[in-house]
Amino acid sequence: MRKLVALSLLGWLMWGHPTPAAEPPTVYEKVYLTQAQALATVMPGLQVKSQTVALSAAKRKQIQARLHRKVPENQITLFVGQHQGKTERYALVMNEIGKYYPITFMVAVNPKGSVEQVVIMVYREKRGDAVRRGRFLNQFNHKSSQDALAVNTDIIHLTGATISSWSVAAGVKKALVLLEELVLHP
Amino acid sequence: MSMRRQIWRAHKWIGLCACIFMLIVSLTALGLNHPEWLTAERPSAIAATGLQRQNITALAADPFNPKHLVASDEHALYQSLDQGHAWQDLPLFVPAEHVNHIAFAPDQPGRLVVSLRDSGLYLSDDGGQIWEEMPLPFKPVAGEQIQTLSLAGKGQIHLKTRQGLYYFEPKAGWKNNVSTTPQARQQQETRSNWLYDLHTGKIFGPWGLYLYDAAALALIFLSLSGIYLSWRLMARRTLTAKNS
Repeated sequence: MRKLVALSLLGWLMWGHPTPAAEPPTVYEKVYLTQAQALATVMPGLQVKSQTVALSAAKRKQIQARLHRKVPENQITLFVGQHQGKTERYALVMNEIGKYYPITFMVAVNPKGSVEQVVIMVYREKRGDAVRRGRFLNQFNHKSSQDALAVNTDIIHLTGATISSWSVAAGVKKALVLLEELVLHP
Repeated sequence: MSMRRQIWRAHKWIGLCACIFMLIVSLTALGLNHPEWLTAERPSAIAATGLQRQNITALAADPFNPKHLVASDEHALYQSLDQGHAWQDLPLFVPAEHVNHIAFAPDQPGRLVVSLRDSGLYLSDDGGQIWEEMPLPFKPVAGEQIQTLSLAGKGQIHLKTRQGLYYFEPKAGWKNNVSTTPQARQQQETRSNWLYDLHTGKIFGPWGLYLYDAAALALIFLSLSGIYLSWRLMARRTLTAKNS
């Protein structure tokens, strides 16, 4: 009898308990870092100012050819971190589609064009948030736009977060190429 | 041999087998809780080696240039400009894993769409040099995978997933003809998430992970100590039998 009750309870929990009907897709949004917190993390002790750079048609074409992907942005906003008037670091906020919703993250780059740090700011899906861990993100450090920055080539994805790993890798590559083409070597 | 002895022997061996099973379950639980421990194959081991013709998973010919073929294997996209004699990489900005369909538009030169089973649709208007990700018409629930697609004229796309059929028109966007209702999809998602949380320990909050780790470690200890004690018992019996 006890077994029957236990099995019924398990069955009800798994298959029979009431679920919300016809709701829009659930966003499991988790904010790990606000923009201010992310900037404080990637540019500690630096004076930060934001700057907007426009994309010309010719630049867009060049960038798209390098990335093998469309770049819909007309302009980008970047953050410049300075110490005693000297630029020490740049940072870009990227939004890359994961499985369905975008992942928001910040890519910090030094003036030589290599990655200093990547931090996840907002993750919006139920699974795959392990990409925020240093074990994955540290792989990008010191990589430049000359590196492949591709999962299965020079980046190892996380099992259980494969598509998020792809998205972050593609976003870091895009940030590096955008910075290089628009700011570092315009 | 007495019945009791037979049962005891069966109990011992089945117990040992169960220990091995428990070890597997516990170790895999630890691995699932800590996905960062489980890396993909080392990059060098799976570097692209070019298209192996026997491994082609999808193939399409350009209707405006029959010599132009696009194909995929399990890991990448390739194109041939000479009807398949020589192949070269066709770069996509994400790994082209599990491409299950490639389709050229019948009325727009250079337009092609590839579907990646687990991640979505990618569209190119210049024969595959520059791509863009197409937003999916559905939020993938557990187990929903893209199965095939077809491009009709005027930018129309038909997409088949495990849940049903979807239809895209440039002006109207996506329309669905899914076989499951929104309620059923929501229920499926809720159940899947519940199982996932229970399996990973997330159901118990931030400490669940550590609780499951402790349980997995305890099971590993019990399995190993059980195997050791059983081996000791067998060794002692063998020694006793020899001495007597």
